[in-house]
Amino acid sequence: MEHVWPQILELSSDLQTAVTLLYEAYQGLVRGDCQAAKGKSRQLSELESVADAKLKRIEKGLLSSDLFPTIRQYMLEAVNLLDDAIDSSMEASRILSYRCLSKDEINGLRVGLEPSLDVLFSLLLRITDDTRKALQLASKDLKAVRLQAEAVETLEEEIDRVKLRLIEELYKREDKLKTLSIIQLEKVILKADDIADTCEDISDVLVSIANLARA
Amino acid sequence: MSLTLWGSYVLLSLSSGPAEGSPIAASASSAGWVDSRSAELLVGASMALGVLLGSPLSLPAGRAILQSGSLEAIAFASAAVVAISLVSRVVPVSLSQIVLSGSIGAVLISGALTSAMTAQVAFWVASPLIVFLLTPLAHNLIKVVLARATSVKALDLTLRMMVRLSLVLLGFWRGSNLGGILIALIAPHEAYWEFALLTATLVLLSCLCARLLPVLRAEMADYPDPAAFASRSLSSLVGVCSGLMLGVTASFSQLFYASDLHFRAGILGARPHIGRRLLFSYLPAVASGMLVLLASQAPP
Repeated sequence: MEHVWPQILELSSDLQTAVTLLYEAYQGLVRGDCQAAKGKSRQLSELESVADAKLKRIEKGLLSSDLFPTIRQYMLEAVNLLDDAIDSSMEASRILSYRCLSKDEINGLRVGLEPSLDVLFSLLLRITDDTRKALQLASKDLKAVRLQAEAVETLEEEIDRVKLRLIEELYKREDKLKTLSIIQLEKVILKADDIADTCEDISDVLVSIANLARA
Repeated sequence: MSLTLWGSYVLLSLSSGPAEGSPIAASASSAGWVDSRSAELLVGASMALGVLLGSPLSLPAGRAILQSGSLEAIAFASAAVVAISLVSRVVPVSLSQIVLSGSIGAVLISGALTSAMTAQVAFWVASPLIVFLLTPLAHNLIKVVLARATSVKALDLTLRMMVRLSLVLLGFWRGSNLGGILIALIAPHEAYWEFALLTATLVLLSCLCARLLPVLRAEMADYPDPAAFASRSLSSLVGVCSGLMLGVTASFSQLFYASDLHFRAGILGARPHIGRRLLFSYLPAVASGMLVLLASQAPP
């Protein structure tokens, strides 16, 4: 348990790095710097490969440990969810890097849409940070895990609202954006929502562990 | 010593693995709280220890059974239960319970109700009440202990200790309960330690055999919650020990099993195989009682 826990926390930090890289890839796209977006996406792919190797090590460590089976199962579930969230970040960054937006499209985004996309990414950074904190707390204070999980849930609901607003705004701009650009941005928004949902699932797993203790 | 006596003794000792130990191990391992191999080994070892150290407490109950002349019933009932366990892989009642209920039934029916039997019957009724009262208390106590675990590491340690301790406690009292009857059967008055050691060895061997041969493993109701399992173990142990201290039976009763089903389903959230359990707990007991009755009416 002692040697696995730091690795799990490291994986949760990797998720935060992945979301940061995704945000930077998006910023490259809306600046018209396609190369920057591609570069960030490549970095994220490398991070994802490293995270996969870490996941395998953690799974091996958990399976060979003598942890109480119910706890082991929850921990395995949590680390697999962390990996899923990193995968979603990588997929979103790839979608961003597949094609560039024209100058007119970028200008069209700036009115109304870009600030909302910034809000989405900043909320995403916050939810991944809160998830990492929840994982940290599980090794120290199970009661505090519940409170942290509530914070994650609140953020996830907020991200849901922002997502719906963004998609609505996006569809209203069919005169300013190409259809492919709309599809591209919509997919990124939905992937961002997937990451937030996965963070909520991780905090739910941690609450299940806390429930074992009736903390 | 007659061949029938030795046969009954060996049969009862060897059936203790699948009949007494395996259901306890199955309850914990089917829920995934402990792997089945270590569960059965733990139960086997604690049952053997129970036979060695706890048997003196259930020896008076064992002698009372033998004095009521139910050796034939012991042989028939245990053979039937072993056959049932091999075919169905379900053995929900202890052999000593079947024997004891048959024995008490025979004494009651023949009208020769001794004071020892009165005490046993009284405890027969009292034991479910003790366990009824203790289980929720033990459950709350365990919840308080679990709530003190502040980290995943502490929680893991508490849960592992709780399940292993439950297995040891249950194994120990099952061994104590069975040992007194088995030792009384083979050596009612002398050479206690020699026979206790022999019985403990046979019980351990039978548990190891049950571990190695999946066909001998019994299936029991599974608990979704380890705290419920532990509270049940703790309250059963206290209930049974209170009887042992008074020198009366260490066995569960049919009444206890009826209430047990209610407890598991209604309060602790387990999923008992009610139909199968009723079938396999009541029918063998009724059959053994009838066998004892027939044996008591047969000319000497």
